[in-house]
Amino acid sequence: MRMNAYKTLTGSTPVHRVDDPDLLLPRCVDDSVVLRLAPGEADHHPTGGCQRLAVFVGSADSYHEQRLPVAGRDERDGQFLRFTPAFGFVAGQEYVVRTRRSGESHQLTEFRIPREVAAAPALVTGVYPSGDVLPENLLRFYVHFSVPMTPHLASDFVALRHASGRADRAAFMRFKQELWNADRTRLTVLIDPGRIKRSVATNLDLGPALRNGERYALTVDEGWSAADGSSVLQSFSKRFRAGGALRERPNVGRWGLRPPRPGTREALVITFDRPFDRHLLDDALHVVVGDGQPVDGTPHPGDYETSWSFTPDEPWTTGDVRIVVDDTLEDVAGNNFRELLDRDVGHRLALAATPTHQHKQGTKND
Amino acid sequence: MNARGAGGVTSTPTITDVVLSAALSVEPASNGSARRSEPSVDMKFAGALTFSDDGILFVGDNHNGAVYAFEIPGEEQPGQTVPCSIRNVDAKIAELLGVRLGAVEINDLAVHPVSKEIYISITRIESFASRPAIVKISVDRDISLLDTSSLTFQKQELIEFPDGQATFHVRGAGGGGPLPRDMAKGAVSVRSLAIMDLEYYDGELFVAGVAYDKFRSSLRRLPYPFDGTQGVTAVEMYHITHDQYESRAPIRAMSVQEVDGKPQLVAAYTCSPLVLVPLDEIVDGAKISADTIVDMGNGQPLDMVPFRMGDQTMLFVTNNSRSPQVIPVDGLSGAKAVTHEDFERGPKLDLHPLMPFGPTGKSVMFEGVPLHMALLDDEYFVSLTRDAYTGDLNLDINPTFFPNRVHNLVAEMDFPRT
Repeated sequence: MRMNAYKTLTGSTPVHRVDDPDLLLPRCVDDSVVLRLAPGEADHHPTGGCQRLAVFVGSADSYHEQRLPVAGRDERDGQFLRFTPAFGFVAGQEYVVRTRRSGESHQLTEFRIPREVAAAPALVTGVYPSGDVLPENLLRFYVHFSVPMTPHLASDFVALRHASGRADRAAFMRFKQELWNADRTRLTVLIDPGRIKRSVATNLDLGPALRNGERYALTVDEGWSAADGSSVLQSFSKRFRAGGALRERPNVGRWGLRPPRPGTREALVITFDRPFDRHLLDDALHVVVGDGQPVDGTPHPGDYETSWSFTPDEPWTTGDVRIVVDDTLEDVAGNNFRELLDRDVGHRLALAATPTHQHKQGTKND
Repeated sequence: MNARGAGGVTSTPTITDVVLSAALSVEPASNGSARRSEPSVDMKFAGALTFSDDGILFVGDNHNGAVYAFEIPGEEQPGQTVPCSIRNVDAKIAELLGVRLGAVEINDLAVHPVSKEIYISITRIESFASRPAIVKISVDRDISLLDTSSLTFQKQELIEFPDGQATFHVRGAGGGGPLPRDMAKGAVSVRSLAIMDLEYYDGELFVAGVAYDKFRSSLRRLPYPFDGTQGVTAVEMYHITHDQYESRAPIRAMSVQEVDGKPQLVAAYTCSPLVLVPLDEIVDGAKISADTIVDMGNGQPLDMVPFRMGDQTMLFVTNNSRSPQVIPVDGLSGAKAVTHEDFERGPKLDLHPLMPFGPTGKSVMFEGVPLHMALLDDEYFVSLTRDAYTGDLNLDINPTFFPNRVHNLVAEMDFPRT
């Protein structure tokens, strides 16, 4: 438990004091404020109450006699007067305690209960895909934040900009709901598939959002407020170059494998044939042995999501190890092992002739 | 895990197969754990308020799907009520509840019939949680937190209450897609409208709102003291403005009045019909059609406050989108109940010549936005009004003989005489 920094002020003249031995300040939100009364004082004021001890929201400077004290319970316990707020304290918020003792003017003591989670300022902590070169048919970005963010504002702040500085306001899909994770620290931004898919209306009208060889930035403007209102975002920019499109399904035949040595906890390393979706990667690869028993360990996506390593909890034993890949794992362009997000319409017959894919003959462009 | 579609398998000395598995299984996202509840009364939300004539405070809890009835003994105050007002009352309430301004949402207001103390239901907002509070304002303007744990109370859970999952449908307005403000509705639970208004009448509590997750406009009828029995009645009404029969959106504000010689519920809807429902039709399990007699063509009603003006009973109906309406109850007797057959088909919005339709009463000058009102006594209303210029939320006292608010108006009479 951390000690609270606080200062004590007497009357209206700020006097910083290191400590007040008779005043115990709360250290967590469910705590109380306790005032120890002098022996004679306790007898003279059997009921105590907010005349003796009161807590106000705000700094000592904001205190005045007309302020309303925080509602709560006053209790006497021998020589101690205890105040417990009805709703607990709010972490990170400033408070001032007013104490009055017999024959003295009031004394003000400020305190603040540290937030459980460090009060990190709102920042973009990362964007995926993390590579510097992204395929021109890229489907989605993930934007990670240091703190939960205020919802329904993403389209005001997140933009795709060409290197010339021009923002493409039609680049991203606008859904009825923004795509957040549960604690609203990760936003999924989808490039409008109508811009990606060749020869559909938006693609023809506006052109693709990204063109091979051009430079772009995913930008998040400053001013977006954290969900708790405690801070606003600083601006962020992820620069990248658009590269060639990913037009083939992922092919495990082109993956590289670096097997670990038995008896060690060396990482098993796979290098992919392309960058994969960062968050689908979390659940898409499993290491199993024998007839499917999972191997416990820790996976690490790496190299801009173009590789994946797995460190087992226990040393490898001799025998077959299989990596089971979820066939819905998507690359950064939304292609999975079963189908492409955008097929060339002219190749329909050729695709239909591929025996293992007969169940998916239609094209998404139809 | 099934393996299939294993095209392009690679073999290596120690890793024999890389196979493609079956589809990803999708697990339901876990719900956040509930915050701790209040120690003695498990109320999760303090919404609609009303008092019985002898000081029972009824509180609608839209989260728990229940109505609480607190016995609040009140002593009659000697002397006349002193008109008073409290500026920035929400800032005072925030101080009391220990939060910043802006972390306090005001849900309703009611006046104790004996003590004349003002009760305000509040949502105290924290970053990811909120808790209910009821704040009491004495005639001396002391603001305090109502300690519900010290009160005798009854709780009646409501049957056919919407589940917590159903949220509003998101729609855009006009051309283009939905705006952020439209999208925000998609995150709002239908439960938030499951209890809209409470009306105590002759030993019974009437509850307007919606039932089930199908968003069915309903009237509930509960005897008080609660004995576990309750009736739920589905209500449909013809909405002239929209030219359709509506059965989902709830009654927003209501009052029981003697109309056409019998007690009837006078009920106001959004956008903005006024209907009559005879109390004897509010029977458990029934699906009834309310009689539409008025349609304002716009607006969202907030409160309906009956008061006496001379020898007449009037209804003061506040609204979040236009001036309040004062409606003489006598004018509702004999009013024609209309259906779609009475008009040309098609929507009839504000500017349609037919609007406003029926015995609408008069709109009154009320500067600012009166969010909630109640009757303090025979002579005064109490209102929570957002000032038109400063945006301050003020608790005002307004006389019933002059049911207006003119705080910021400067008229001929205010100029110096030369």
